[in-house]
Amino acid sequence: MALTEERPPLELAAGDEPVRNPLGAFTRPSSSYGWRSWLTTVDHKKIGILYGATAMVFFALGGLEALLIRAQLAQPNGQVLDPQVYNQMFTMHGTTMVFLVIMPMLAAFSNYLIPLMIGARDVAFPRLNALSYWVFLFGGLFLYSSFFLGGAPDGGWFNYAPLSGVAYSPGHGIDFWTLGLQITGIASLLGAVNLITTCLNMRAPGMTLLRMPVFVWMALVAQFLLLFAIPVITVALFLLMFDRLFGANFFNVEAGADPLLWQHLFWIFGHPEVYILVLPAFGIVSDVIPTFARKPLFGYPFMVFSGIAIGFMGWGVWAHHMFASGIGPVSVAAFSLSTMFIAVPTGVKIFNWIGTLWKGKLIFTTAMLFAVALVSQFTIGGLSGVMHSVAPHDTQQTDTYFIVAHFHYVLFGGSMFGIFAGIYYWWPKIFGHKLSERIGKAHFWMMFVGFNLTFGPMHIVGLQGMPRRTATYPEGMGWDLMNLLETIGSFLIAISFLMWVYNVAVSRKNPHAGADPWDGRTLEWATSSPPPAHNFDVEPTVEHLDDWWHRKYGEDEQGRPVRRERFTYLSRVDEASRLAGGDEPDVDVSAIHLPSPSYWPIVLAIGLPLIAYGLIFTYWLAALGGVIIIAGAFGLGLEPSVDPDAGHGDHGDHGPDEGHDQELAEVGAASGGDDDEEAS
Amino acid sequence: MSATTVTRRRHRRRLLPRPWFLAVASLVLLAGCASDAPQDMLQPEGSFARTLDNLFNPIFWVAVLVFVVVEGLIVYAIVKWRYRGDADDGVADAGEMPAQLHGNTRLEIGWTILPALVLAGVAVFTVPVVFELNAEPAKGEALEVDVTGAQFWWGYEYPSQPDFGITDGIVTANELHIPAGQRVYLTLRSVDVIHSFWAPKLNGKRDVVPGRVHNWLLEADEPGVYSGQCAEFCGVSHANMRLKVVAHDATSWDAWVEDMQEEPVEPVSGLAAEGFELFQQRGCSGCHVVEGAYDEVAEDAPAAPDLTHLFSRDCFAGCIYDLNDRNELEAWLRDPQRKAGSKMVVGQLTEADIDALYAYLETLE
Repeated sequence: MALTEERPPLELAAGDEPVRNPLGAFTRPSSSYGWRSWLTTVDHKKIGILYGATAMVFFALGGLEALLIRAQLAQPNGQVLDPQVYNQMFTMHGTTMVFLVIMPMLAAFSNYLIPLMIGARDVAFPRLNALSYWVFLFGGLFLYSSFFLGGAPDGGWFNYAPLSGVAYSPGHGIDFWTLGLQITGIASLLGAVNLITTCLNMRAPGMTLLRMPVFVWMALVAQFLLLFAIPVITVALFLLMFDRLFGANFFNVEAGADPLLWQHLFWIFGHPEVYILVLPAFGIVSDVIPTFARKPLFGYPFMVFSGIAIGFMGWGVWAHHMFASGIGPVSVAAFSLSTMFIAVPTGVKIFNWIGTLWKGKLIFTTAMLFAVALVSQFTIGGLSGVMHSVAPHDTQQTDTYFIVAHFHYVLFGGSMFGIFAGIYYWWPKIFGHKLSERIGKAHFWMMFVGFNLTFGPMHIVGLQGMPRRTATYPEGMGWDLMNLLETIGSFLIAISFLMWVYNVAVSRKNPHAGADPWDGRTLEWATSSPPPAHNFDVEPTVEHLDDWWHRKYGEDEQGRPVRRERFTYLSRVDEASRLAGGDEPDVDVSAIHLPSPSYWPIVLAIGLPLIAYGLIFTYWLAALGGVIIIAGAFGLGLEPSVDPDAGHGDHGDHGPDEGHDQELAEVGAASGGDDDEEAS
Repeated sequence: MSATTVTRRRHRRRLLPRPWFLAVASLVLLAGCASDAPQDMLQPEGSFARTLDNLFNPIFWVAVLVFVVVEGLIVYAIVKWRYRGDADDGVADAGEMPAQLHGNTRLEIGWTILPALVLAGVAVFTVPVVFELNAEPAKGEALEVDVTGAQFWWGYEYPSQPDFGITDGIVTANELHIPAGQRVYLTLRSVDVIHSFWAPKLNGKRDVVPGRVHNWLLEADEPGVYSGQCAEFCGVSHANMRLKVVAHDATSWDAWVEDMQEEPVEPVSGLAAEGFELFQQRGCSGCHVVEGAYDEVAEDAPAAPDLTHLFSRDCFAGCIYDLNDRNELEAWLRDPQRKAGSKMVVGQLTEADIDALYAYLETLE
């Protein structure tokens, strides 16, 4: 690739003894299976799985927090949680779901799918990719360790100054929040640089930008948003950290600060963040719906450009979170207008999805159910969003449950339903077998009913004047029935999540699904399930949008698709897939080179939470963390990305269930190449 | 959902919960709207709240229309073009392909422009209201009240305004008294963190931000008591920072103003006089002002409600306790931390102390 061809890192001169232990610390890992391979992997697919699994664990934790919140609010004057704990719960629920569930879940899909969808062997910087996962994981664990170290943060996910200052929040909870989010922000930035470079530089021949699947496009827009939004929140967090730990006065009103500074910084990040959370989910359903409607996406260019338009306009609407803050009527009017008009490109997407459904042959698999539910539920969230944009009336709506309803319809009814659509859709690609459709549909309906029962009534109590972030409410406000229904709904959601967990557990024994179980349209279905470590035995040359579809289908005189008698997969596939008409490429894969596993990403990453603990408790720990980071950075930088000692064919198969594709275990990815190196 | 064989019937049944669910949901919605909610923003009882509601109503119904059209199209598409065969055999075996439509530029430009036009219409009605509600009333046209937000209660000061019968200034807390049918111009300040003043039936909310001075308008059509509360998360007892707006007719407004401008009589004998002494001995007067008796508070005292006319009010401590119930105030004196995060600190009071203090406070009408 262009970035790396000029300078292969640390090429050993011929005849030199290979350096086994570059810094004398570790023996270079080489295994591609077993638990250790997961700690040292630089394979984008394994890292994607790690991201996804971690995010789902955090989803369970964030859900547990939500259940406690709902238990407390089930009745007026609830006694389940005391207000301190309640405030910790809603703070951690919001922070978890945004930073530790939806963002990493979308990182999981982006990591796993982007290289496969654009016909690449890996992301641009595989070792950086591993680093970003470990940094994210340790950031999340650090944040959660606050529960055992004096109490979790309790200032809300928006954490407004000056309540977040030491004077009003003397505990360490908010320090954990400030430092933890800086750490996960590093992970997001590393991921953004990596995936943007991947999309722009690693595409297969012929994969022009306007042939990229819509998921790749939406993920790319989201990564650009991350690249520019994360620095803003990092600045805000950094200032708050200096206020809290070193006595600075950025948000100290007595010293002349204006608390609105925090709100502006937070929401300049916070609103693009909303699109970071939802655009990739839009991308997922834009790939799922055409597959199960058996026709191409309606208006691909409109879908792509409306996504880009949302990405741009998303920077001009932040102050609609502040219509009651006292920012003055001119600002309010301007942001009211910009907020209204961001609904236009969003509406285009809704109509184009409906256009895709129109006159299709709609096959309602679980993935399709979740995808169509996203379209339907996001419409509700979008319409309530337009209501908020009516700034004068937003002074009534803001900070009530009407807002809570709105953003859960966007982020749960939208993003999470999209994520579940993606999970059911790509599960057979990732693990080789489908999740049970029978349990999946039960899961869908339970979640659909639970979701709407939880968040639908919130519109009503919100309009009836119930404010958010209140630990309790008195009798006689007219909110009792709706709150009870919401609590019942939240427990239905919990049951539906358990159904999904059960589905994952029992589906392990499902038969192998084949390379292309859904008759998919994009390149990831052209390789085996799970794909080999090198993704494709032959590098695809792309000629169409939905290239894989065109490899399988020709057209008759009326332009109707006709399945070709024979077509060729891009990798060696299982027998059933071959019997269904797919030929295998006849190539020697031993010349395909991939980077070797490494311990250094995890070593480097562990230094960051040590510094953070050090800043809170004792600087000695921070010094230790600093030493580890410097050592890790040198280790990562000096280590050849390809182990000169690694033999050919002894590593490289992917995945947790090698059993499905025994023949593929032979296809090792070998070492020593320049194809996917980092430009170190 | 335990069927083991895939049949047409089962597929059909799976899609049924949608209309069923929508029906139940709309029933619940109707039930919700019909109930009596004292903070219902859809039932305005003052001119400003009504302006907001008049803006919101047509937009709400436009949104409902869009909702019905969009969801209708989705449901129509699902019912009409749902594949009724057995998809579990494999998607590729679902038979004949539908027409491969790639898009329709004219249609797509249409559904880009049409929502933009609808939104432009919404904008035309929205923007003037933004400015209207930020207009400052002319001097003397509106009753002026200085509002102070503090963790976790509200303080009110009425500067001298002869137009409204106030010649001496009035200080009170939690219950905001206003004349019905008159504009009220609030000046909002915070002594600690951000709060937000909100009485939904009278107007939207405005944040109360430390270091800044904000203004907000209120008006109540009729005499009555209007519920409200702090709407910006302000700490551990945010939920307990409630307020009441009491709107008076002309006669009772005059009476209230007159009462509030009289200094309470210092008790000279009995339990109340004991309480009067205790009020200082136990440190109450370090933070709480009683005009004419305890005018100076300690220099570093946290903000605390003025108690000069405590028993003219119905509620206390952020309007979460009923002042007419003697037990509530006694429990508060025993342990102000019954409200989490309360800044009030008292030493151990004996039951005799509490009785005496109560007797004194009761005289502060």
